[in-house]
Amino acid sequence: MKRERPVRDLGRPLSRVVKLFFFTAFLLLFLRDFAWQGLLLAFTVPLMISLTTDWLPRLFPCDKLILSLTNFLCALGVLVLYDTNPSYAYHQAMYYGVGLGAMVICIYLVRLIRKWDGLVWLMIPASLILLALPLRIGQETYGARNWFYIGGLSVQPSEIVKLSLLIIIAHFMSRRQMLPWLGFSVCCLGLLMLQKDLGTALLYYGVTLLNYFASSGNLGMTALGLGGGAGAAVMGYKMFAHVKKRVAIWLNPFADYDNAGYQIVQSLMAIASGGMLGLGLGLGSPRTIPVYHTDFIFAVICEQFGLIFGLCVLLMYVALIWRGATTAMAARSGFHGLLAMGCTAMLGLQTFVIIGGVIKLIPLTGVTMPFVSYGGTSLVSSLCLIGLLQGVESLNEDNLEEDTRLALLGGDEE
Amino acid sequence: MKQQRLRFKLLALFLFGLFALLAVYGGYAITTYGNRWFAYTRNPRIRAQKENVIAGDVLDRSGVVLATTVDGTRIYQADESARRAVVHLLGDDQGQVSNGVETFQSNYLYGFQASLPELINSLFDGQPRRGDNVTLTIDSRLCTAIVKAFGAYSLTAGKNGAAVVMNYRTGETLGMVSLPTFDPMNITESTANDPGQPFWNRATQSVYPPGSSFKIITTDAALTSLPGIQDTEIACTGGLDVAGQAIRDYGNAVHNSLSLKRAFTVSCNNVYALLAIRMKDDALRRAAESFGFNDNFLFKDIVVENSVYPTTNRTSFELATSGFGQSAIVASPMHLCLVAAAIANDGVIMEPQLLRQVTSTSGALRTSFSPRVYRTATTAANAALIQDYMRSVVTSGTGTRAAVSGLTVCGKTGSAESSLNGRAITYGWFVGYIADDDLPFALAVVVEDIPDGEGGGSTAAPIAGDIFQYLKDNQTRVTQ
Amino acid sequence: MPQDIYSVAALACRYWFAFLGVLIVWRSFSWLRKDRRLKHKRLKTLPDAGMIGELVVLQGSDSLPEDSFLPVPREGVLGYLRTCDVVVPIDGVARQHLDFVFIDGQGLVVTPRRGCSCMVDGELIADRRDARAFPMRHNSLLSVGDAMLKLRLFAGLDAPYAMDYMPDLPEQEPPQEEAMPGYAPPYNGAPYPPQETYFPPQDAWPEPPAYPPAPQQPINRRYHDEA
Repeated sequence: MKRERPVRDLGRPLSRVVKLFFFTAFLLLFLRDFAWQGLLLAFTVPLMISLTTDWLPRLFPCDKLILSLTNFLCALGVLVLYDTNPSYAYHQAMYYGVGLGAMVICIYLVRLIRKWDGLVWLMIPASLILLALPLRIGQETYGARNWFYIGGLSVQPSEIVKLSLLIIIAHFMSRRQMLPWLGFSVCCLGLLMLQKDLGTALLYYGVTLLNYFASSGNLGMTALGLGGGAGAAVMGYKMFAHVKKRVAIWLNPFADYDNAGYQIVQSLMAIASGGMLGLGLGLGSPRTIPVYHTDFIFAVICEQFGLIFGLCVLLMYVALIWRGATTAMAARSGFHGLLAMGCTAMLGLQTFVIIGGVIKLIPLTGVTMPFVSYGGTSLVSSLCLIGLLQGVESLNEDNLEEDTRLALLGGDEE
Repeated sequence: MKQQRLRFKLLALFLFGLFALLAVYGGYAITTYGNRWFAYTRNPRIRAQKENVIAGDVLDRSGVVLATTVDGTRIYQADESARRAVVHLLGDDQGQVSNGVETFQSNYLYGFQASLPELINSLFDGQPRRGDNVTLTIDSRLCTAIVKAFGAYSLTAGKNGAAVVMNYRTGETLGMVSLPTFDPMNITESTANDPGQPFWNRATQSVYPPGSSFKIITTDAALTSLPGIQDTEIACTGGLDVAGQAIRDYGNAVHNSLSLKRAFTVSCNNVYALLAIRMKDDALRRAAESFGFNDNFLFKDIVVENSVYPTTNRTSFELATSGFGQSAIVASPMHLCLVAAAIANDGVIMEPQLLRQVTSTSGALRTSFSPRVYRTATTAANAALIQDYMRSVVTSGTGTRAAVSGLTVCGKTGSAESSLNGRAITYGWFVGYIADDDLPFALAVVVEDIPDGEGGGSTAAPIAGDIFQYLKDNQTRVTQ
Repeated sequence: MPQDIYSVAALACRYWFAFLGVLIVWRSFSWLRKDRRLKHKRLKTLPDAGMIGELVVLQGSDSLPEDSFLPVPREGVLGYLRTCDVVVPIDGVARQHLDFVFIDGQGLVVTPRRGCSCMVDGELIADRRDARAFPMRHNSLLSVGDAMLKLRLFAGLDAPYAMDYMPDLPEQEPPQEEAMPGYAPPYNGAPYPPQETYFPPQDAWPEPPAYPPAPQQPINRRYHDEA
């Protein structure tokens, strides 16, 4: 029997590089102003990464590669926030801890729940109510009215409902029952339009459409859905003034620099100033970019670290998508496959929409960058997405193990 | 399930495609627009850098210092008229002139390109860092001469206008002048409120109707789409009727029967209206677009306003008037200089550049000039014919006042009618070049608001003549 | 630290961070590649991974000879198209004829697509309600178009008759292959299956009905009714 070449464990080198990166980065920031928090973070962040990447998979059924990449992105967010506004960094770190717990819960949700029937019918009204809440008790920021306060914490229900959307459409699409998921999606979209959260509406619509195509393969209906969406976009353009404004500043932001175009011009200037290698960590003027902590955090990354590094961040999201697609393809039941693909598509679309807006490929919308942007609900929900994905992956592993076991047992009887 | 798996693969590829789109677009946008976004005046990073780095010097091609920093203030040339002549291409240090060299080349002037060893050295030097020194292809004395030429003639003194001079073989820009000028060392409230808008660089940012100077392009289109047209005679009735309106010539002249060359030389509108109608809009538009109309100019060193050849609402009257450069066609003086340069250079337009070389304070060369082709506008055969026509304009046509003894001057005049704020206004043009190998220069001159009855031949052509004379007298200065 | 020294340090670190970023991306993608290779290798030793049984062709045609076997996954589509999970290239079978899903405790539930019908054990199935009422079990007969197929479920599945007919499996430890040095086993410690014995020849992942002539049975799963 031919001896196999030893299989290298690629997990350790990767997490070592990640830890090294953050150690040196925080050390550099510490040297900038000798704040003790910088030194503390230089040790705690790599420690956290070590804990989650090396130890968490031993306790829970996780996927190491996904965890590594996710940790890198989250820690990158903390790094950039610490560079610009340290208090945000501490909040983000706290939400990260909460998010990890939520991720583990989601993993077990997928693993343990066999029959989703009853749960799904409960989720539909609960989600709709949750999504409708901001219209009643919500506050308005940046023209969108999509969040509210619960005892001091700001909550964005569209991020929570994102998860139930994925579960609901996966469940009904795998059973070929069109009406429930269609009705739910349309209601969600309607509520989001009312709240003027067009970016999230776009995401919901995109993920539903992609999942529908994946589950049914009906090109005609998919094209119809696409056409309907395009038509709705055109109608929205004609009807809403602020959509018109968004498109106008997308085409020529420099024309209205002082008002509407200010954000995108600042972002473009920042990215162009960064060049290939960036202006340097801790240098540059990241705070001049409006909303630098949420929407435009990618512009800050490109300004400080350069385009090459920005491209690397993009490729990391591509790696996550690759992993998610592989998981979906290996899933044993249609429901799990659609769930995994839905999570992947949601992540991919969200990243595309926000980075596209930042570099002026598409008009700016109000979505955040998964894992990196500041925002409790956004971070926790992205980690939950990853949790669902890992749950499906662990089920795949289990099934494969089961098959192996049965095969071994069967074979020995011969 | 298998089908579902296949569709998942498709979806994954779709998502990869989206990301590839992001990467490609990002790369493209930064390489072409990067400097323009970076050099936007309001960029706070440049302002922050100004506090740590002393801006480098700007020199013209002969070494004359156009701008330097002394004790924290920006000093320009001592002679006021010299300062005012180059103010639009140079810009001022507050960025009032958009995309002048002072702002557009901030990348070099404020030391953003310094390499790591240089930074470390400057750390140990103890002296404040200096940015790189930028040497332009401009000849500042030429710019001063241009401003003087505008003032030398009674018809043009006090008028606004612009002029661009470039080397058509290499693409170096020798001169770029816009009037009215202002003093960069003396900017006041009244400068900002001046109704003539002195901060505006008319040479690159203003677009005017080209008038008869557009006939160069119409001729090229006719040579391409109406074969043999150069050997036929065309009739001119003096009042061609197009859709109920009559086309008139300058001074209501009637030329009877003309050859193409003669029509070009005397600038007959009727013949060109006929040609435009015969070749139809498509052919004319294509010729204009191959000369750069409707193109998004993305030159490395200069920001030029795009020229427009209209593509909608083309009635037959509009088509006829397009033949001689009216209707809604607009172009900047820089672009028309490129058109003249195209003909002079056998149909190939070189990209206009401003930077001759950039060196760091320690003498390291950052970048130096290398000629680049912008586009091929027309064939060498067509260019040769038009060269002949443009020669005869200066020897025996409307542009005789641009002639300089000892030089083979070629050109085309233009008088463009337009309206501004409800009032009729005429622009006088002269675009031309020197056909001698040792003085390969093309230019475009435009004078705003010339008096009734005058044309480009009497207003812009004399200025062009003075420019050609200067070039002849300063041959070494402008060619070495 | 004074600003200018810090800026030099930060500018020097740019190269370092860019390098590390590229390194991380490189390692992630080689990890993805490695996992893909491993998975392919694993699936090669488990040709029946994900399958719950087989459909034996009792009455077929030239393109689907009798006594050939069609592997049945847990969930899928049966039809004429090659991209279906169970390919039945016989007249009377639509391009995508029916969906089937194995439900634990009930059996293989067969739901025909719109406009199609089939017969399970003699009962006509024309819509969803019928499908749920008549799940297929071990040795059930399925009649689609002109074809007649018999279902044989693998051992170890949670289906009716499994309780009655579960064979007495001896308590035997699968032979231990020493773990490859450096390979981190999956979290529940199941060993890597040994490499020889019971997978079909390398190039014969059976396209129905291409099993090697002898033995006729697949050599790695046992049926419900084999003691």
